[in-house]
Amino acid sequence: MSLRTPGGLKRFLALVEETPHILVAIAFFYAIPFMVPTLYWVRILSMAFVLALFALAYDVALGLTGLPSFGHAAIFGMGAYALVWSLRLGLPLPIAIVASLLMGVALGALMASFLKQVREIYYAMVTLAMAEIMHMLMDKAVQISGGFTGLRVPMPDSLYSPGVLIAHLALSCTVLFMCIVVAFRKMKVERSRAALAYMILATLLLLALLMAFPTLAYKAFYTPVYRLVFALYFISFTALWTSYVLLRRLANSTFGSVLVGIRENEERMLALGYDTAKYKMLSMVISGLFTGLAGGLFALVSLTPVRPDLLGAEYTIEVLLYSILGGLGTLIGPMVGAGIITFLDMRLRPFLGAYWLLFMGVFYVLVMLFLPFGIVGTLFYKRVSARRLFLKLLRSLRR
Amino acid sequence: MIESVLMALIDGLALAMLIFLIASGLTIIFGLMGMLNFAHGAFFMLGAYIAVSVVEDLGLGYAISLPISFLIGFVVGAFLEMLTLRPLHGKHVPQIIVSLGLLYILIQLVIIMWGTVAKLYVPTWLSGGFRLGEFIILKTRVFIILTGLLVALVLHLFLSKTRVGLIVLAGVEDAQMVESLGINIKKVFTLTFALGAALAFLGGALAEPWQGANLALSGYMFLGFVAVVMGGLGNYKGSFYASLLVGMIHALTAHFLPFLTFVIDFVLMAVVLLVRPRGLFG
Repeated sequence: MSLRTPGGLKRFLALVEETPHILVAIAFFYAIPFMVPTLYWVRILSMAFVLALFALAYDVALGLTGLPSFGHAAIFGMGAYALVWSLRLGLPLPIAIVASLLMGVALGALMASFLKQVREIYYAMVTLAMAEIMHMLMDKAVQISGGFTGLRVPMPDSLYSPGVLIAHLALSCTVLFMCIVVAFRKMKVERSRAALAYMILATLLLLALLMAFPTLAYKAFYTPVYRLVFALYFISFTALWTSYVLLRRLANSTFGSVLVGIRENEERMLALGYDTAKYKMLSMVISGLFTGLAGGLFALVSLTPVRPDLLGAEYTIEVLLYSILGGLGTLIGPMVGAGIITFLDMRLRPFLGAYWLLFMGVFYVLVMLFLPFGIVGTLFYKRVSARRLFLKLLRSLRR
Repeated sequence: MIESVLMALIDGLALAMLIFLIASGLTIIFGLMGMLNFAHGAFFMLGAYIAVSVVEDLGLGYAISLPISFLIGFVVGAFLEMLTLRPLHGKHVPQIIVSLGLLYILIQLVIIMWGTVAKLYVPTWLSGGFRLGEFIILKTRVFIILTGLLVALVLHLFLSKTRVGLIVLAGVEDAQMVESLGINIKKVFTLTFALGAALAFLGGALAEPWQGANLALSGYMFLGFVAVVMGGLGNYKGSFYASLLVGMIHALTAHFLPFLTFVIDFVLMAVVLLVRPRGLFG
C-alpha cells in the first residue's frame, strides 16, 4: 500500500474505515499515557504490550498453523540477548532491534528445519530439547550471558531525547485527528450513533491531550526517567500494533488460509497441491521473526538485566497460558490474554504471594477444560454473547 | 582415575534406576493415551517430599515411606486423570497443555506446604558405605539400584503375566481395537496414569536419601523424556535399556565434563528424535 499512487490517500482512508476499531484502539493507547497520573500504569502497559507481541508471534505458529513449538522461549531469550550484545558493542538502537529480528529469523529457521522429519508431539519434544540445549549452554557460558546476575542493558541516549516524546505526541494527535475524520465521514454516510460517540470521544481525548501538554513539557524537561519510560511505551506499542496489522493482513490473505488449512487437515491441503512443508516452515520463520522482536523489546522495556532464565521453559509455558486464555488462532486473543495476565500479576501477586502461581495454574487448567477456544475465541467463533458464555460456564461447572 | 570412573558408573546405575521409574510411567502413558505428561517431574518431586514428611511428621521409618508414597501417588494420579484428562479424551495437545498446568500447580503446592528450603533425611541403616580399599560404595546407591531392579522386575511381571497388564500392553498397541473388544478403555487409562504417577512417586521417595527433597528434582523429568525417546515411545523394555544408557552418560558427564551436563542428554534426545524417531531399541 503506497500513499504516492493516485488515489492513494483515498484508498488508505477506505482501508482504515474498514477496520475502525483498530484505529480507535491505536489512538486510545497512544493518548492514554498522557492522561494517567503516575508512571506506574505506563510501565504496566508497556510490559503488557511486549508480552502481547510475544503471544501474537506464538499464535502464528501454534494458533494459525497448529505447530506445537515448545521452544519459543529460546527464540525470545536469544532475541533479548541479541539486543543486549549489540547495545553493549555500542551499536545504535535501530540496528540492535534489527539484530534481535535477525536472531529471531535464524532461530525460527532452525526450529523450522526440524519440521521435515518430525511432527506433532515429536516436534514439541525436539523444539523443547533444542531450547533446553540453548538454555543450558547460555546458563553455563557466563562470559557471554552474564550468568546468574545477567547482563545489564545499557540504555541508549536516543531514548532520553525529547524527540521521541515529541514524535509520540505528534503521532497521537494525528491518529486522534484521523479518528475524528473517519468518524465524521462515517456519520455523514450512515448517521450512526456509534460514529458520533467515537467522534466525541476522540475530540475530548484530543482536547485533553492539548491541555495536558504544558505539565507534560515541564515534567519531561526536568526528569529524564519520565522521557525514558515514555519512549519505551512508544516503542513497544508501535511495534505491537504494526506487527498486529501486518499479521492480521497475513492471516486474512490466501497464505493465511493455507496455514489454517494445514492446521485443520494437512493431508487434504497436500492433496490439493499445496507444498505444506514450505508453508509450515515459512510460518515458523515468521513467528520466529516477531518472537525475536518481542525478546529484544523485552530486554529494553523490562529495565532488568537479561538473564539466561529468559530461555527457560517457564516462558514458553507463560506464553502458552496467554494464548489459551485469549483463544488460539485469533491473533487478538493471545494479546488480550497477555494483557489480562500482566494486569492480574501486577495487582494480585502482592496479596496472594505463593498462592498467586497456584491460582494461575488452576485458572489455566480450568480455562483449558471449560473454555477450549479461550475468551476471545469463544466470543468470536461461537458467536455467543458474554452473558451466554457466563451461563455456559456456570452450567459446565455444575455438571 | 579408575576409582572415579567406577564411582561415576555406580552413581550412573543408581541414577538410571531413578530415570527408569520416571520413564516407564511416561512411556506407557504416552503409548496408551498419546500424551506427554509434563506433570511427571512434579510427581517425582512430591514423592521425595512425602518420604521426608512420613519420617519427620508421622515419625515412621523411611522404609515404610516407600509404599506410602507409592499409594499416595496412585490415588493422586487416578484423581488427576479423572478430573482433568478424561474430559479431554483423545485431544493430545490440549492434554499436554493441561499437564503443564498441573506441573505448575503441584510445584506451587510443594512450595506452600514445605517451603523452598531443601530437606534431607538419611536413615542410619543407609548412611555410610562399604569400603573396598581406596574405593567406597555408598549404601544409598546400592539400595536404590537393588530396589529399582526389583521394581523393574515386578513391573515386567505385572505387564506381561497378569490380565490387566496385558490389557494395558494391548492398549499401547491399538487402543481402539481394545475398546472394540468390549473393554472400558477409560478405566484402563485411569489405571495406567495412576500406575505411572505411583512409579514416579516411588522414584522420588527412593531418591530422597541421595538427592534430598528439593525443587530441582522436577528437572529429572527431562532425563526421563530422553530415556523415553531413546527407548522408543510406548516401549517400556526399551525405556529400561535407554535409562541405563542415559544414567551412565549423565553421571559420566557430570563427573568429567560438568560444563556439558544436561546439554549432552538433550543433544542425544534431539538426534534420536530426528534420526530414529522410533527409538534405539524399537
